[in-house]
Order: sequence, then C-alpha cells, then structure tokens
Amino acid sequence: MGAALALVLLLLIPIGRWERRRHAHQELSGMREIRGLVGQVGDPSLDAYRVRVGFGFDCLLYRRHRNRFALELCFDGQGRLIEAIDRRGSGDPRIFSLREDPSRSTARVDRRLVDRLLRRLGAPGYAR
Amino acid sequence: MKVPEGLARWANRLGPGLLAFTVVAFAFGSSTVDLLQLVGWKLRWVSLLALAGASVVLALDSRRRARELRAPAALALAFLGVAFASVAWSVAPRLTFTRAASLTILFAVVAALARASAERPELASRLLRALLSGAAIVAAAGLLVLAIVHGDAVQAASPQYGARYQGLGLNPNTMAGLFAVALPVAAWQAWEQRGLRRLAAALVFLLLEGSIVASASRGAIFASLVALLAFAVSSGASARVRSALVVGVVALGVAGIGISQIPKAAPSGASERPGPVTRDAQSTLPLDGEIGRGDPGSDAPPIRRRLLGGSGRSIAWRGALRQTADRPLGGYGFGTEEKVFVDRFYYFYSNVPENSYLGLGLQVGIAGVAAFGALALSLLLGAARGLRRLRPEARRRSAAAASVFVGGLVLALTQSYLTSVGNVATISVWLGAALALAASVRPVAPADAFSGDAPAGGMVQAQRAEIEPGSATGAAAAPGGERRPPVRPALLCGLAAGAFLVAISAPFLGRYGWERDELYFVSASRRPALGYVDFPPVTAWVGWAVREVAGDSRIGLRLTGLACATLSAILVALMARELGGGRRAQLGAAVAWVVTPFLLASGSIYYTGWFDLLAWVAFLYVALRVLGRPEPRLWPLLGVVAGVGLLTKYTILALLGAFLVALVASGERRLLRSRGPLIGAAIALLLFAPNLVWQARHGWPSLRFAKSQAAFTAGATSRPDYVAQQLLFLGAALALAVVGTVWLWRRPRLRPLAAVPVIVTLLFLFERGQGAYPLPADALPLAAGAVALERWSASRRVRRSAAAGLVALHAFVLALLLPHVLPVRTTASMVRSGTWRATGWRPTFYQEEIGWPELARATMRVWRSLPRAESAPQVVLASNYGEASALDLYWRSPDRPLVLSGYLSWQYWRPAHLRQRSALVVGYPPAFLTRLCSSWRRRGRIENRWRLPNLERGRLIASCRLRAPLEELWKPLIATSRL
Repeated sequence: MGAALALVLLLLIPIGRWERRRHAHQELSGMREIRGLVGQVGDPSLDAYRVRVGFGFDCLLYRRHRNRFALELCFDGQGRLIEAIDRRGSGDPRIFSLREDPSRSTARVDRRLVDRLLRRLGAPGYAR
Repeated sequence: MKVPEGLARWANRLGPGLLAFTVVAFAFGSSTVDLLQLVGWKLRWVSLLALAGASVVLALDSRRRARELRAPAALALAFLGVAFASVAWSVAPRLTFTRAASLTILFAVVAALARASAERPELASRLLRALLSGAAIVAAAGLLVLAIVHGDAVQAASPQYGARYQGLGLNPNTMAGLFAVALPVAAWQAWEQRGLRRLAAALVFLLLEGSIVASASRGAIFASLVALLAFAVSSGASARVRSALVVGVVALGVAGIGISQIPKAAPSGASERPGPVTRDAQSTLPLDGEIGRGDPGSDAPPIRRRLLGGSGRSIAWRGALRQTADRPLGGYGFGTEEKVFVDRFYYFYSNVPENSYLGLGLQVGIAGVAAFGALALSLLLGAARGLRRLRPEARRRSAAAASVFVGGLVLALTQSYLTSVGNVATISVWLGAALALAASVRPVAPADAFSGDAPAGGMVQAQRAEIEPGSATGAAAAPGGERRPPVRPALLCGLAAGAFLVAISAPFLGRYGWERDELYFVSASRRPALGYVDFPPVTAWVGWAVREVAGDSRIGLRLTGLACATLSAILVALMARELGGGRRAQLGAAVAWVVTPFLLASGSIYYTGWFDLLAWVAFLYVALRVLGRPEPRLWPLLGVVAGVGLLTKYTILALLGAFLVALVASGERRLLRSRGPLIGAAIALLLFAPNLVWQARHGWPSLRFAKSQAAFTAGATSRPDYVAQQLLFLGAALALAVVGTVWLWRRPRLRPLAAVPVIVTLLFLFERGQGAYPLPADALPLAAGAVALERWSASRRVRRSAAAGLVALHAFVLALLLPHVLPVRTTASMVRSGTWRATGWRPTFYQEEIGWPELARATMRVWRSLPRAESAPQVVLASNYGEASALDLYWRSPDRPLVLSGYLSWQYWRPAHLRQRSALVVGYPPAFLTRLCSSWRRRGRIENRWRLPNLERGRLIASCRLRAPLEELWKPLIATSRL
C-alpha cells in the first residue's frame, strides 16, 4: 500500500511539472499573440496605464478604434511580460497570464522602455 | 512505548487547556484589534507546538492498537504526500512546503489526540469542552470589543450590505465559522450537563448562535444549521425526541436567517460611476472587478446582497474552475491558493475563491481533491461506524464531535479554510473528525495479549470479549491449511532483498553507454502515445515520467528496472508468506530471486522486460490469492494487472493463455463459471483498449512486427540455447523452482499455478522465443521451493549439504555470467576481455552500448561540412531506430535538421508532409542507396573509439539526391514495421 502510494506520488511529480510547463507555454503563446497584435511596445496607440496592480506590476494599454483599453500588456519589475489582455471582442476579455508564476515568462522587454513609456503617460511615481 | 507516568499525567491535564488556548490564540491572530493580533500571531504557533507535544505524549502513552484509525491515517498521509509532492511543481515551492509542514503538524496533533482518546473516552469529552471553551472565550472577547471599541466589532452598513457584527474577526465571516462548528458541542453540553453547568452551556450556545446571526454570515448560518441537524439526528435519542430536536433546529435556523436579514443596506447615493477619463485605467476599469462590470465608461451595476446570492461567489467559482482546468491534475501547488487565484470579478471581493474544495482543486488538482475526498469520506464512515456501536452518553459525545466535522465540511462550501492551519476554525473541524473517529475504535487487546501472556486485568478481558475471532491478527489459513504468517515481515524480507540488489548494482549503474533499444525508448518517451510498433506504451510512459524528473539520465531510467526487480522481490516474499512460509522461506525466496543472473541485469538496461517482469509476478501473486485462499473478490484486481501487463509487453499473452489453459485442464475450472473471471477479463480488455484503438488506427503494425520478430528470434536462438539460457539465467534458483513446482502440484488448489511456468516455458521453447521470456513465471515456483525447503524434514546435515550444493552451483553460474549481466568491468576491460561478444547461450547487450556519441558527432560534422546550396540535404534519414534515436538524443543544437527514420515506430514520428528532395542518409547499405537516390556520395563512415565491431561500425554516412520527394518514397521504400 505504502509502495503503491509512493509510486503514485512519484508519478505525480512529472505530471505536475509537465502541467506547469504546458500551462506556461499556453499562456506565453497567448501573451505573445497579443504582444504581436500590439506591435511595438511604444506604439502610438498606447493610451493608458496601470501601475502597481496585483503584486506590483505595471501595465500598458493600447487603443483600437473606440476602445481605449483594447489591448493590455503587463510587465513585472524585470520587464517580463506576465499578463496580456485582449478586449477587442464582445463578452469577457481574452486573458493570458503568468502573474502567479512570473519566472516562467520568457517574453520580456527592456524594463527601462516600460518606465519611459509610463513616464510619458504621466503615471504617478514615474512622472518627471 | 513507555512514557514516564508523571509526564503522561501532565499531558493529560494540560492537553485540553492547551487546546482551548490554541483556539483562542489563532482567533486573536485573526483579530482587528492590533494588540490582540500581535499577541495571537506570536502565540499561535507556540501553542500549537505545545499542544502537539502533549498530544504525542498522550498518544505514546496509549497501549491500545487502533486498527480503525489506520485507513484514515493512511489517507491523511496520502493527502499530505500529494501536498509535499506538489513542491516539485508549485509556483511557490517554499510556501507550499511550509503550508504542507504546518498541516502535517495539525494532522499529527489530531491523530495523536484521536489515538489517545480511543483509550480514554473522558479525554475526548474534555477536549470537546476545551474546544467549546475556546470558542466561548473568543465570542465573549468579541462582545468586549463591541462594548469598548464599537467600530472594530461592527462592519458598517454599505450600499451592498447592512451592518454586520464581526466581533474579534477581520471580517464578519472570520469568527462566525468557528462558532458554527462549535455550536453542536454547546448543544451537547446543554443536553449532558445538569444544574448551573447546563445553564452555562445554554448561555454559551446562545452567545455563539447570536454571534453567528449578528454576523449575517450566510455560510456560517447554514453550516451551523446542518451541524445542529446532524447532531440531532445522530444523537441516539428516541424518534420522538429526535423529531422535536429537528423541528427546534429548523425553527432556530429560520429565526436566525430572519434576524440576519434585518439590518438594511445603507441607502445608495449615486451609483458607482466611472471616474473622470484619465490615462489611469485602474480608475475606470479596475483589473480586479472587470468581469461582470459591464462596459468601461458605463455606470457600474449595483450589488445587492440576497439570502442566496449577491456575493459573486458563483462567478468567482467558475473563474477558479477555469484556472484549475489549466493545470487539472496536480494544480499550482499546495498552499498557493491566494497567490494563484485572481479576483477579476465585479461582484466578488476576496483573494481566495471562498470554497475550500475549489481552492484545493487550484492548489493540488484532481489528485489532491481525490485524496482529500477519500480522507473525508473515510472519516465520515469511521464516525458513522462508531456511532452505531456506542452507548447513549458516549454516542452523544461522538455525535457532537462528528457534527463539528460535518458543519466544517458544509462551511467549506463557502469558505476557503479547510487545509489552512492559520484559520480559526480549521483545528476545531479536524479535531471533531478525529474524536468522532476515535469513538469507532473497537477495543482490541495489546499485542502481547495474543502471544499467550495472561491478559492485564479485567478491562482487557472485557475488551477481548468484543474481539471477533480471527480479526485481531489478520491471520488466516494458508492453502495447505497452515497458518499464514503476518505480512509485515514478508514485506521487510522483500525490501531487504531489493535493497541488496540495489546495493550491488548501484556502483555500476550507467555503464557503458546507451544501448540501442534504450535510445529508442528514450525517443519514444519524448513522444508519449497510446501505442508503438514493437512495444506497448507503458515503457515510454514511465520513461516520460522519469525524464520529467531527472532529464535524459541513464541512471534515472535504469533505476526503473531496479525498482521493478525490488517490487518483484517483495511479491516473491509475499508469495512465500501466502504459501505459509516463515521468515526464512520469505527471505530465502526473495534473495534467491534477486541474485539470479536474470534479475542482476535489471539495473543494467532500461528495457520493457523489467516492467513485464513486474506485471507477470504481480499477476501470479494475485492469482495465488484468488486460487489459494481462495479470494474470488480479487478477480477484478487480476484483470487490472493483466490489463496493465498487456500495456507493458505483449508477451504476457503467453502467461494469460497458460493460466487459462491450466485452469481449464485442472479441477479448478469451476472458478471460471463465476462472474469474477468475466469481470476481470472485461477490466483487462478495457485497460488494453486504448492500445488496441491505436493499433487499429495504424493498421495493426505490431502484428507485422511480431511475425518478423518471431522469425528473427528463431534464427538467433536455437532450442538448446534456449534451454541453456533457462539454466544460466536462473542458476541454482532453477532447482528451487523445480522443487516448488512439485510442491505446488501436490496441492490441488494450486495445481494450475504449478502448471503455468511449465506451459509458458514449453510454449516459448516451441515458438523459439528468447530464453528470458518465460523467466518471470518462475517466481512463484521459486517461492514455493523456498517454503518446501523450509519444511524439509531431512536431517540438519542433509539440509546443509543441499544448501551448500545450491550455493556452489549458483556461484559457478555467477562466475560464468556476472560480467555479462552486470557491468562490473570498466569499458576498456570489457572491450579487451571480449565480454561484449554474444553467443547463443550468452546474449549480451554491451556491444550495442558503444559508439552512439561518435555516430552523432560524425553525422553533425558531415552535416556542417556540406555546402548550404539549394540542392544540399534538408533532412537526416537514419536506417534504424538506434541511429535516429542517438541523433535525437545527442544532437540538440538549434541548427539540427529534421531527423527521420522509417524504422518501426520512427516511421510515425514525422511531419505530415515531406517534400524534401535530398537527404543526409545514415547507416543504409550502398545497395539500398541506389534504390533510394538518383545519386549519392559517401561523406563518412561510422566508427567508435574502441573500434568495437558492432552493428553500426563501418556503416555509411552519405548525401543523397532522392529519386522523388521523400513522402512518395516513404511508404514503398523507407517505412517498415518489420525487423
């Protein structure tokens, strides 16, 4: 019984790790897709921001037509893309997020660029 | 264990007090009053550890064996195991570890208290009263806060909610949970006590109920209602009293709900409008309230709290479920609920999903929820069992404890707390479960009472009177009518033999290199599927699991063989026990099994055969129990083993066929008329079905492979070689197996099992199979042989001579074969000595372990040296799975081209379209290249650093202009399911 339990637990480890990787991969794919929709991070459609939300990350929001918050990219302090939201359609937004596990994000930008853009938008704490 | 009397006395006195103190300390830790919170934070873990110490002392002082506690304890361990295992995939491993460790302490406390209470019913009563005292102190402290700092004790009315009493708590739900689960204990005391104590209990009841109602915590109200109903129903009162109690509880609940609805929400001013348009999106569209809010820029809808809705839980639960679905099996890691759950919901305000079960799903996935569900169920069943057999007073106490747990489970539907040790209600709920379970423990005398010693006093005498015959030790008759020895020593004997095998194999693990088939299995494990051409999927699945943990570790993968061998040794020891063998027979059988040259090779290669070995031995063990005891309820288990075996290696069909034939031919064929075999067969087929589906979808390639392999093996192994391999692979254990076969044959019930090894050995002899194929079937006769030897009535001198002869014979066989099955030599020594050479009677796999890195390097070198023209090769095409898999393993650079092979399963591991017109081909003979290529040019040859003549050495590496696009050549020329 104990051996069977130990075996099951041992088998669970690779499964859990695989799930973690797969989930990170899926979220990253989605975030990259939205990042692709945005184009350049400093795209002229950049229209709004959020600062220090969640566990302290900052977000940049991009306008599409009349929707000011159509696309959103959130970065942590190291410039890792940890959340991306697509609000272009009707209904609930498409959200891809690794905010619980930011270390799995391999999509990143130069954090200084994010800081510059927040400063440009007049975000509190970033304004000149 | 003997505990000093004074220490035990102190623990007994202090335990309940410490429990009450712990409850209060945890409540203070969740207080809005800063000073209390500070004190609570500092004291709660200290008090829990002190309680743990006292509980352990009390448990160690208990002499009674409590078998009823074993199953829940095992399930609790299973759940904790999942929690700790989740460290490996947690998003916050340190957090997961600390949370799992604190839950372990909590479980240890309640388990120890359960064990102690099983022997001392009065302790259970005192513990329940202590719990109630703790809750009463917390409730009274809440009133005190209300009187002194009114604002801290009441949550002001808002447009969503009326004013709510929160007492000491951080919010109205915090303490209400504790009061809800403590309420049945108050009811029990009000019933049980007399005079002033009854009055005090009734006042406490009113205080708790009033606090719950004033908090308007709907979850707590419903949980207390259900807990009280559970107490009323299970209290053992007469039907009339029970009905009155139920009516009273329902009336109390209705009144409570009615009163809780009295405070009205504050009049809403202007509805929540978006802030002025700024660039700060958080002011217009908050990230934590986006879903359900409506369009940004429009007015936010008002939130109205109703009796059954308005908290936004349902939408948050759906969100939590969606998050769980992203990592369904293992979750995000135990204790990470707050970190993982993201509140994006307009109607919901919490950092957890407010449902313990969904929270558990997030943390530990289906695996954890299943383990938790099994634990909760076993606790409920245990409590119910206890309730049925108790006298009225004891039954009411047990009913109160069980109701605490029931109320806690209901509360968990609306609160995330069940596995958070820091929550005020958690310890109370688990303690209730433990005390209810303790009441289910049947009085069983201490172990020494069964060893023939006189029982210790009248109490034990009375306990023994309750013991069901035969149930105390689990002893029953072995097939021969002998008494079956206990199971634990047999497990230890098997483990010891396995440890011995691991110890002698460990220094040589990983030598000499990847074997051809190993490489292939590694490639398969990178591509988990329901089937492969030449083997069923279990080997690849296990490989996938190992690689997930240890990466492409040869040692890690080869350890699976040792693990299978160790498990098979345990089963062999259990077989000896099943046949009535004592410890000498069990240990002798297990050791004789692991020192056979066959088993000694188990750490030398990662191979389907080891999983097959385990499946065969497991099948024989279960079959022994089905036929020997007889235990027909195990037919489904036999089906499970057969099904898994079929997913492991198709050769188990020979064992299944032999078993069927032996049953039909023997007097035991009557067993086949029962439903058991049909159910077993159906289960086996069901488990095997996915592989069959894969085969059907791919045109049954394994059948073509099996046909070609039979011809290949027949050419490679002559019948005399096959017989020689039986002798050499088993050594002296073969003599033991022969004796065991005769011993089994003499016992009519076991006669079919005596025939099975003989049938499979003859089957493979006539089919010209490999010598190793039937060997796992010898495990059972070997175990029987050990039992026969143990009972051999010959003189001591004769027995010693026989044993010495067997050992000498085995030593001789090992001297012949050891370097061939266990890589004891260094690579240079192995090459120089010619150990790598296989002969008919002495197969070896070392030859195919040499040269793979060199092959990959040579291919890489050639590839990189080729001009990057349009006509340059676009893929690497290998002639067999060894080459393709070696390239797959060793060539990991980003510039690696597509590696393909048409050999066996590799034929399916390719893109849908192959339009390439040129390839770098590896390993094909010139004659084939002239058929495949319109022109080809030799670019290199395969060599190994030892210049050892194996199958690969000297083969060609060539660039090839294909006669047609690769996909047109694939089926007619390249893909094959034949050896």
